[in-house]
Amino acid sequence: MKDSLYLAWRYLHHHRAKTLLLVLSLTVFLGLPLVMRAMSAVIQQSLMARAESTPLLLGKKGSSLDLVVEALYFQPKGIEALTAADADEVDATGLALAIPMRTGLLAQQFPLVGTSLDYFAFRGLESANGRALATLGECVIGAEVAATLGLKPGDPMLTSPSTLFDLAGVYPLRLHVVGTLKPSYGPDDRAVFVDVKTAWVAEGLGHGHQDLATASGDVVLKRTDGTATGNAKLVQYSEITDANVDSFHFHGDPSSHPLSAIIVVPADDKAGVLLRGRFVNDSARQLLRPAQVVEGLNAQIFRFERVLQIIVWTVGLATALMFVLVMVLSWRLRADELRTMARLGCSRWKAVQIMGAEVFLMVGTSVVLAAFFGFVIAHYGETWLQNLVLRGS
Amino acid sequence: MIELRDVQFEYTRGGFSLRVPELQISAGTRAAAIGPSGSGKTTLLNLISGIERPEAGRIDSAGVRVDCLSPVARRAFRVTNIGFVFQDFLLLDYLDVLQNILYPYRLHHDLRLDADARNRAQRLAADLGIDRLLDRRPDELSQGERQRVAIARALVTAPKLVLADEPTGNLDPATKQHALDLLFEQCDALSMTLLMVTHDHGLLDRFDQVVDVSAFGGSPP
Amino acid sequence: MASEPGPAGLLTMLGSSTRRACLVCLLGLVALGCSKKGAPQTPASTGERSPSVYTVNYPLAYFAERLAPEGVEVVFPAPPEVDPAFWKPTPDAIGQYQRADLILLNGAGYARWTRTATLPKSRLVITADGCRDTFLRTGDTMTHQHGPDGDHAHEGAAFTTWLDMRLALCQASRVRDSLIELAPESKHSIETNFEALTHDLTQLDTRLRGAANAWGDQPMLASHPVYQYLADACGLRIESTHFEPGEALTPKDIQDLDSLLEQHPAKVMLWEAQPLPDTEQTLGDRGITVVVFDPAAQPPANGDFLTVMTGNATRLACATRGETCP
Repeated sequence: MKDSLYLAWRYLHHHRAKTLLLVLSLTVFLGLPLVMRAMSAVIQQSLMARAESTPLLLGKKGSSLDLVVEALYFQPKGIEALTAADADEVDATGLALAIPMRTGLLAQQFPLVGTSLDYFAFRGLESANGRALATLGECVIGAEVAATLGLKPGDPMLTSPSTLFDLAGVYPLRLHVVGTLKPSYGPDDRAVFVDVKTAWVAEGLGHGHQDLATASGDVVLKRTDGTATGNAKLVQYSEITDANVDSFHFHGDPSSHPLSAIIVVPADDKAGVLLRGRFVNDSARQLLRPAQVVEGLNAQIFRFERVLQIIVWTVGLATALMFVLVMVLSWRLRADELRTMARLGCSRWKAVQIMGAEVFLMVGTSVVLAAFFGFVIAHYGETWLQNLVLRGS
Repeated sequence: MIELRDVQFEYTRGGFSLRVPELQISAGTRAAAIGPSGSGKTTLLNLISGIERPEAGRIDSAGVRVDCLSPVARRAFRVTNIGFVFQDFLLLDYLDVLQNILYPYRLHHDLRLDADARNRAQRLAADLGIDRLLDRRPDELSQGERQRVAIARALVTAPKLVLADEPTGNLDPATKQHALDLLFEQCDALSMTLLMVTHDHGLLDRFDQVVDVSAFGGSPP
Repeated sequence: MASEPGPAGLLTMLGSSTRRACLVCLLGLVALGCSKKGAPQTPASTGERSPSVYTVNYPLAYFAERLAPEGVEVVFPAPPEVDPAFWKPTPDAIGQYQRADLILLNGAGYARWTRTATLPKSRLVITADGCRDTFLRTGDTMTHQHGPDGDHAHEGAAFTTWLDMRLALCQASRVRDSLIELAPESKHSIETNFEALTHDLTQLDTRLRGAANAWGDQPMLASHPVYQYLADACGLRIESTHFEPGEALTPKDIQDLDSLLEQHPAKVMLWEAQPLPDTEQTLGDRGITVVVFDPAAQPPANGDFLTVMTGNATRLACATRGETCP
């Protein structure tokens, strides 16, 4: 057997180009179903894990899938917003903890997620460096954000402007990175977390500026008893610092400020049932179980995968047949070699062994390569695959 | 060493037949087989080596009665007792010179590719003047060098009988003579019996025995 | 979810990282204990240590200390030399609040830093919420306007709610409820402590109202606008200045005082601390009696909230009855 493998290896090595082509085609033939299966499993399992770890999600009535995708995976879907009053309402029931989520914004191409401290404990997110959010204007970044942008505590980070060419749009807010998180192998690794109030500032619902009550005349358009009106020279701060944090304020009633969704963590199963009962007839809002929504998405992925598998296996069969044809033609061209082997005393079985060793080496290499690619996809492609599915959902 | 008696052979397709009433070649003899094309020279070599089996008669090669052996036994006999030198050399282009010489060892479990075999291959290569070419491939060699590799391959298993089918047919005269000198030298040194098919009657005086195959009544298709 | 075939080894590998994340999340959920209102609380910290209660002012710390069972640590970390309402804690100090098991805020806009700080809502109690329909303003509101959004005001919220003993009692009841949620096994002792505190605060309320009734609707002055709830509870007519006890009055201050006295001829002025002798003299020249009424936002050098407020009530009573205050 050793001699057969040796001769087979020498032959394949000598005809490298042909061997490489055959191995690659076999790898694709063998690997594609494996990779597809791995991708599907990764997507379904990781999507499901995230959804299952989120008991309930409250959002505006509309597409439940969009709500889940935006709130859990931070992919902007343009969903209608709730208000902070909805979170207060949930808290007031005494049945659940309401974790506010404000999404849809970006910070240097990464999702900006406004939330509360409770979110970090809920998701089990641990600090790698620095500390937790303490005040307005600070951010804590996921592991992938830190690695990609090379950021650490103390570094600044800009939010992305909401409109590029709209002069009346919201300008970037300069955030302060105060902490980085350990990898959690999910969407949180790619997120920039801020206090929900900071998110509101970033989208223009709050701001800070010079004190009009005491400001000099060149920024005051008009001053009467009890009211001062600022003009266009009034400096609005694009960064929240210790010196100006007290000047930051919000317009209107804070309870009317927007939330994209609210993660609802019931005290127990009974509380969860009671809560769902309260919202079942709500015409403006929906309280859903993300796991149920993702199950539907997974079922679609599974159906799509089955169709793809049929196509892949058909193409694969053609590839296999071509491989067989190439091998048969190759052996025919080596008829002289086979005759020489026979004349020198080589049995037919030995000849088959030698030829078979060539097939074995090529198929074996392809199997290893296919398994390797499947492993890589499964191990490192989770986030990429999630985004691939969620961006298109 | 080689004895044929009342041997009859016929190809089932093509209608060729060969009859050898009697042929004896003593051990250590240099014998030449001559005859026109199609007279059965290669067939004779095939019968003696056990590649073909006669319909009737007796064939003894290197002390073994070949005609009675099964195909498996004939292969085993061939690989351990007979060395082949082919007209077209039939070297493998994906093996280097050393591995081509050692090729027979990889084809049958009765032969062990051990240190002795490698040493024997190295010695043969040195004797044949190709020891500096061991890591080259056949397509990097001249015709003469390739012929010497083929000779080394035939002799590496220390066979009792060397069958050469027009080994110098593709060589120029000078190279031909050199190749023959080497072949004869090695066979004599190792006391091997040599039966060589040749069309070159100018070489016949270098052989101890000349066998005219056309006398065996082979009828071409 | 439908079961899917696949290479067993690969799926096992696939499962490990996602299953690990799921387990961490599940463990996080399991770690949620009893909540302040029955809703789950997120854990403040791990490890064996006594539960901690952090407050934003001394009165709340006092109420918590009076009510809390043994083993509960009450912390009010603001330095003694700063006004807690305007204290700016460091990120480390905010971190301490974040790790507390219970955070007691005053409400009514007290402690400006809490507006911009990130605190865990699940462990946060705004003690004055629900104790009044609306909270009082200081009266010197400055609204401003810029851009299309219209007026909005920054300043003017009155936040010394604990100077109204009935509000203080309401706040204390919220503290009681929160402590019972934190340490339900000590409910009985907390309730007992609350009864004793109720008695003390009710007595204080009676004394303050008595002193105020003796004054009637005569005008009164205050060195700073911090007595709104006291005035509202006791029916006192108080106008405020912005005089510091440790600083001498400037001529402008005196001018403003005289202008104020023309419309509001007060004979008693409440001060958070004893003013300078010159200031007292200036006020005395105008027939104004100085009454030190410590709002007790910070712990006193001697005594506690009750002794401070009792002293306040005594001094107020003396002044309103025209007696010499001790």
